[in-house]
Amino acid sequence: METTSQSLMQALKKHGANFFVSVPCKLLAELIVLLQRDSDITYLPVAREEEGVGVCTGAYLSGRRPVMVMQNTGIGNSVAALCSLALYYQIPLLMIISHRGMPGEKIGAQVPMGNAVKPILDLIGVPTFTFSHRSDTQTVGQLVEYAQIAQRPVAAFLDFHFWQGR
Amino acid sequence: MNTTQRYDILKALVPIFDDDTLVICNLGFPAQELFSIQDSERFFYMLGSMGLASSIGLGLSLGTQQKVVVLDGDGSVLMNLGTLTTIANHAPANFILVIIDNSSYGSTGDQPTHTAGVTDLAEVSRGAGISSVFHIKGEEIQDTFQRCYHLSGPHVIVVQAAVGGPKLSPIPLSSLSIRDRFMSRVSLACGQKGESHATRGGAGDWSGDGVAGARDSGHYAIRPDLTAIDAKQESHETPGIKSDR
Repeated sequence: METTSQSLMQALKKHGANFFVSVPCKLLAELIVLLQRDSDITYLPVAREEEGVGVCTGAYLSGRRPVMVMQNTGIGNSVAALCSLALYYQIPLLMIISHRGMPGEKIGAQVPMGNAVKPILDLIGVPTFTFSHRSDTQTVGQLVEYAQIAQRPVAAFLDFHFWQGR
Repeated sequence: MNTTQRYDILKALVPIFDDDTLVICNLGFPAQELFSIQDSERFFYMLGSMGLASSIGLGLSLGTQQKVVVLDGDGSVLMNLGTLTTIANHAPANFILVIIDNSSYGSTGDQPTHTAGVTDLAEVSRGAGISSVFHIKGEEIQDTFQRCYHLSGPHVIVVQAAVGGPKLSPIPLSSLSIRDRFMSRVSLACGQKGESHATRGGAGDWSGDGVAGARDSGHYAIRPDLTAIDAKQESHETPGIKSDR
């Protein structure tokens, strides 16, 4: 049976995603392995999420459909880039975000950013969507095209329940 | 005494670019200077997001076979040092990063950067794992850049410059016009898999041969991605998505 990560990857590609960057999260480990092995797409890990906003912007300028795979804490170091690059130039960028710091979290330090990250994105005008069910993978995939229509970065938060529903 | 300023370096570089060289230019005075020397649709002027010029160039270079030249500064690169490690591990052969190092934050009042002290960005680049790194004086820029331009990269050229430059005005271009005209000059990397980019709104190589559908001559594809949406998507209905607002 297909895993959640396999289903998600297939949905993203089906909707045209062909350029991926990542900064890891424990919850994203399997998805990152799939990215490393997939010869249909361009994939590179970046050192920091802010850098990833720049790399994805460049990829979009070349005609690719970029996706950033990251943990929610990375929004914290990306805000200026999201505002003055991705939003200012209207760059469609889908962020696949593992949402830490919510109930089920074991690491207390994740809680402050876990709670802050959606209000931060609301404040700067990045549409956010939360998914809690494994069966939502196809809908997540559609956000690749939604980002093109919205002409801006879009955030898909995948919480603990999403990843646990194998 | 080093008298070569960034403006002189940019002036020396521009004639070397080809008709399909893509340039990502750092924000502030560098962008104003480049614009005043020569404007081109193939120049992407970064207007905000200090530090990210090299990252934008890296992403771009992975999606096209055209030469990608990033015109960056020491203050900018210091803000995003991780970029050098990503470039070292993943940058393709068509990528050239020119770091114009005048050891100062020019656009904010010439405050000194760490390269005015003990930091050497060429050494940092080598330490990051980049094998083709040049550390040169301003007057050497033409020869070094010519050499790199005809050799497989990625290359990093750290070129020393004197502080300062001419007094210029902000660039009179909107971010969207910069984006759209730039995209019309990028052709897709050969052998690229995934989505057919014939649906990218005709934003292929602007060779003047007539790109199907999208534009009249002299106009640029606005929102080139819109033609990538199939007819069946036009309803914009995405059932099942609940916004968090």
